[in-house]
Amino acid sequence: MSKIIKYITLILLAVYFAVVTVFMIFGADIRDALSPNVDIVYPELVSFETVLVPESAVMYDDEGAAYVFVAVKDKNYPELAYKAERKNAVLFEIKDGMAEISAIIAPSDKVILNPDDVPEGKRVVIRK
Amino acid sequence: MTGQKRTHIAKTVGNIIGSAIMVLIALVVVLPVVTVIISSFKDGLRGYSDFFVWNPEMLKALLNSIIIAVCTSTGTVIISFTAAFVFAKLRFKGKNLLFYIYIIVMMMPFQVTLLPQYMAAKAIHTYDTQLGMILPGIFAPFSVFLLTQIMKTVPDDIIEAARLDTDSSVRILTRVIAPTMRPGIICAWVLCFTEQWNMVAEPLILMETESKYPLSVMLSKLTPGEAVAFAATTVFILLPLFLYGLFESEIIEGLEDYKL
Repeated sequence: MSKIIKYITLILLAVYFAVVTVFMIFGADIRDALSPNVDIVYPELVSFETVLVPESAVMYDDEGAAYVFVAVKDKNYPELAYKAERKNAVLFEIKDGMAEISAIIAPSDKVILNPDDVPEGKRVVIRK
Repeated sequence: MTGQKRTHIAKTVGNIIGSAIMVLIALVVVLPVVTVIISSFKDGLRGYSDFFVWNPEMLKALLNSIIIAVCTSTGTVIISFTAAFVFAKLRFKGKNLLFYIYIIVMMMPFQVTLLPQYMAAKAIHTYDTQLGMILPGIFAPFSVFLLTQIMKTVPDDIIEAARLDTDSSVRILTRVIAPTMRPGIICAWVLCFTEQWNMVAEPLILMETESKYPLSVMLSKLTPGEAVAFAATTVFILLPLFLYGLFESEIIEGLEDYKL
């Protein structure tokens, strides 16, 4: 009986080290595979009412209303992960690839540059 | 009712009460561990994915813990085994005094030796390195005491018979005494591993870079109550648990057979 327990423990110990080794080696790849990688940009303050963001960051819903995705930290999310949060905006002007939108976001907000790949409210990883 | 019958009933009742108390104590010890393991699955496997995938610094801390605990316990056993041979089998002046000093150091609370350890680590430039954690651990007096007591039970005749074949003390230690003391050596290794695995104060004093901290220290950085905190705690307690399961008979033999 004690020999069986010993063998089971040995197998569990091997599994333990195998899991730790796999995640140590491939942890970053698994993380990238699990959540969309996003590029971010900080908005440029134009006035009290408006900020400038790249045109590619602005999305439109079915009714034509503009919005952007912002990567926000959440206490429920681990250190590396962010959450994609939708922020509705009013689009004023598009000029030279930059969109002037209502200042619903602050210059310190991380605006997602490739919002097409982002599921709202899900984890995203900011590409370095 | 005869006196014999009454004694038998009293013995049975005593046994039942004794067993009930032991079950209660076992529950008090086991329940927190079981609660932690069950709570780690409260969000399915999310706690584990958060630990293994999303907290690479925790995984690094786990590796640090493994490196520190394995190196220290292995080094301790090697040093203690040779020191135990000297204390148990050789005769020289001041041997008993030296052994008493070992015991006194062993009896001291570890906080007393922390400041000298810190100063020594600064002086020999091992501060904020894993070596700074491993070196003081290697010379821990408890293993020397434990292995000395065990080595005293090894008959001198075996050593004298081995001396006829070889003059090398190293060969006698590794080929003759070590196999005889196998359970005791494994017991000392596991006890030392567990002690190093659980330490919290030493890394906080002897290290300052967070990426070098062991998991025992990093656990406090996680938000209590979160699934990831329970998962990290489960991962932390599993390794000593597996080691105990693997070497259970050796640990019991090591402590029981040598009347420790």
